[in-house]
Amino acid sequence: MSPDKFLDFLFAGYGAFWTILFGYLGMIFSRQRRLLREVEELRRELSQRKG
Amino acid sequence: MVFCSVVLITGPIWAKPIWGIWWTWDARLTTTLVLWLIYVAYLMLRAYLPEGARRANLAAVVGILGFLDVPIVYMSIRWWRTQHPAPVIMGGKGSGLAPDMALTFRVCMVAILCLFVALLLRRIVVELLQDEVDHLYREADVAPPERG
Repeated sequence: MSPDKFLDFLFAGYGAFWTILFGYLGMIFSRQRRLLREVEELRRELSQRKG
Repeated sequence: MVFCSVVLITGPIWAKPIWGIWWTWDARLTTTLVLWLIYVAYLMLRAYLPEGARRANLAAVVGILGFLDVPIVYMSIRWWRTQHPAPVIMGGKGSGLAPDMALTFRVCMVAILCLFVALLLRRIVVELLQDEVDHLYREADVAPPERG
């Protein structure tokens, strides 16, 4: 296998690693954002009911 | 699950130029795939079974099975001589890394451990938030929306 072709595989592996990692981070942060929004809305609703 | 997926995807990409094949049913690959499937089963149980003792018990059993598979994955290249090479680190007499490679390996291990801890802490924060949301829904006496 030529060195160029070898490097293609090497960088494809790194590409897969970063894609999975950033995909996971994106998933976690979007869930966190959604939950924070829900907490805020629920707290507002509860305080409106009480007050 | 994330790290296991990384291994199962990057492993074949990096194996192809060295071994000439993407995948083979060798001991380490197979036990790693089994581990990944156990994690998938665990997450599916947690996501789709109704909340309660049954879900907790089943998920715990699957979690223990996954935990038991980890040392099998580690020992697989010691117990069975298949496609994977013999262990380079802690492989007994004649094994070991060149000093430059050993330093690189240690730095990478520390970096990956830091990444793991950071992801774990973030995940704990998100799960605590989820608990708070569930608690607030109960307090407000509102049914939480269905989540796919």
